[in-house]
Amino acid sequence: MLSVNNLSFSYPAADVTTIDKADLKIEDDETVAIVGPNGSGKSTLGYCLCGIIPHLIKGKMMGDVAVDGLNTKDHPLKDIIKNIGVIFQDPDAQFVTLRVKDEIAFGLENIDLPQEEINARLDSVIERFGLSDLLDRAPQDLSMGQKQKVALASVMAMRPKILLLDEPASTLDPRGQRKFLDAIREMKDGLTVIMLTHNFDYVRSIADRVIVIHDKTVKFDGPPDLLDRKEVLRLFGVNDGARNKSNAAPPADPLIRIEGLSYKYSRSCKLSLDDVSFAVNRGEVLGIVGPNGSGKSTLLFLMHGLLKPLRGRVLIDGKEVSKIDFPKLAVKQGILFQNPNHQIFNPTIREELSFGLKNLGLGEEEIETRIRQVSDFLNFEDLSRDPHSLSYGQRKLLSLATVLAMNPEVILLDEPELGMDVGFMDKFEKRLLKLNRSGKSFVIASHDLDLIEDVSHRVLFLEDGRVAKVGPTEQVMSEVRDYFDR
Amino acid sequence: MIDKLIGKPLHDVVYELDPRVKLIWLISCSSVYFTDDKLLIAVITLVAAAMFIFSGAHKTIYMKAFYYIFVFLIALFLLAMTESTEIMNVIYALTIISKWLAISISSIAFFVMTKPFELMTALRSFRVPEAFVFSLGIGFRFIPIIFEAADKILMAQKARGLYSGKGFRKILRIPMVIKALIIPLIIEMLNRLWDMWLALMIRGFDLGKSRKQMKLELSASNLTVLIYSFAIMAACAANYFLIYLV
Repeated sequence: MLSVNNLSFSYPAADVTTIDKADLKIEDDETVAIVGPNGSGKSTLGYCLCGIIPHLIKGKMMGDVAVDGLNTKDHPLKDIIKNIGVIFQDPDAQFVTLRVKDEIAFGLENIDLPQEEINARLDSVIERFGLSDLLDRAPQDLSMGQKQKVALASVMAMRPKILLLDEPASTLDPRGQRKFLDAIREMKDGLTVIMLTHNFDYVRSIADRVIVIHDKTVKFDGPPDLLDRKEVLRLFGVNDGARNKSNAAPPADPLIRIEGLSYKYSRSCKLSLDDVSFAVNRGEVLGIVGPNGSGKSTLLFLMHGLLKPLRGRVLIDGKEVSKIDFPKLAVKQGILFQNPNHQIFNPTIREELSFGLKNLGLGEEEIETRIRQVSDFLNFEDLSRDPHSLSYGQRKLLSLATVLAMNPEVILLDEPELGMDVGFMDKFEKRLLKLNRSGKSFVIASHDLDLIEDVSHRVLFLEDGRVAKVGPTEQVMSEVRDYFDR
Repeated sequence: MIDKLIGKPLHDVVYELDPRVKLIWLISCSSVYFTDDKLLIAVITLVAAAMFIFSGAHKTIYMKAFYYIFVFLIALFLLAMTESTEIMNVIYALTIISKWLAISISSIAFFVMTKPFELMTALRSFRVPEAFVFSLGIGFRFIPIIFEAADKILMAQKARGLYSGKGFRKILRIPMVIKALIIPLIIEMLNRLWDMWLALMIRGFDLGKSRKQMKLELSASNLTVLIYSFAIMAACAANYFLIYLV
């Protein structure tokens, strides 16, 4: 069905190869997971498999890729895509029309199918994926799970022989991830499925075969039963596979108090948060979990005073957050956003790190000391480097560094695991726990239940904008896992 | 964010009308320009206003702006009255305002209260080139993305003290504020464009290809507005020919 022979590829102007002499054969009806850490060349391999390389991305490509017997070098992209459907990581990024029905029909119209055939296929996928209520809605207005379903339906309508999924469910909550896997499981008969991911645990239950790539080469190729988390970490180049664990919970000494917090984004929509009350203790790691759209990020933004509550208030050390000026607030709490690209704008790492510190009104000497401290802590070597040239993971670390440099008492983290591989998260957890032991408090909103279980002293479970449960990690997490397994 | 900007009601008679019916309604309301029949003008204006008020469309932000303009016109009208006490002048001023109201309301219905994909379908049905229509669609697709990204970027920079400083120092920081917003926004947009381009190409996109057209569904509300629109167009035309030509 799909074969890769002695494939090497390097991007234009890059002096290193991203894929080096890869050989791969995937048979009909196989479900294969290609697992590798960030920057291992998974996405590049995916681009080669579906013909994006060499047709849309030019570079130095050696070797051959054949999709259902068609060599991607010799055949136009239009012929290759008749056999292979692709779903990218962010469904939002691949929606090109303004209505769900048009989105599903888009690919069908492009491959010159007669109108009757288009209508028949539309009816078929609409029924199969249960989309009849969403047809006239704008794709961007759907929930994350619905978006993935529409993306899948629009690809499956083209009836590909191969389905290529690039980090398909990383933006979904655990229940959404399970449902997405169920959908794949239901339709994988007669379909070759290739999943590119850094999350081995996610694909373990569905894959017939796992290929682990690291340092541009295949490190493992076999059934998933022969691998476990520790082994994957070892293959990813992380030697210590032991789980990280937080210290005993600190005594109850509230640093932040949330009182009756409610919020909604516009007059027409329902409350994103409804009468939320809890406290964050000094020296504590508080995990916030909940399904997509339950209000986790909104809660963090309100806690930091970035949004104005509809009702209720946030108090830090007894003072209302909205009434504290920037320099005073910045030493109390910092926030790490989901997407590091939203904050990086300076030409060098040094300037990026010093931006917040200058806003604090610190002197040059103090700024230099703090930059040196965070650089040492997070292993930044070349501070004159352009931050935009860093990998996604490094940019995320830089964002964390800008927050740490301001030395806040409590740090709010919004889905720190998003887009990060298990090796990065292992190091991240270790650093977080080290900081916690030195007295820093953390509030972490995340879908990664393992991360929350490893590092949190207490967990707050949000459901539909309300606090469904809050308490010690071991008590709440069993209920949370039950909720997502339902 | 984009909802805040548009403030559209979710289920509204005017909002749900077929865009082509809205366009015909706009043309029919515009035909009021060619008549001086006071009764006809009053009917067209009152029906247009009633459609908005009873369907809930008057609650939108656009209509709020419209009310301000309306108040301004009333003020103009009162001013006209102070200059002349002749009753005919007063009626003339009222006529002009009524005509303007009818055309404005129907224009808002077409241009503002039409779902983007319906507007595209309407443009396609009027044989507007696909390259233009598709580009317009991509533009519409990007509006919420830009707003959302800008929102997040501003929050991320605010958390690092972008807006700190007071008085003159704050004014001096304006170039920095613009830079801190523009650079991440451009990078985000370029990334999004790249992803969208790949998604387009991998699904065999061909700019010249014609797209499926929406059928004109003659639901009760569409049919009523259509019949009414043709009736008032006929009435305006008859009135025009009778008075000015005969």
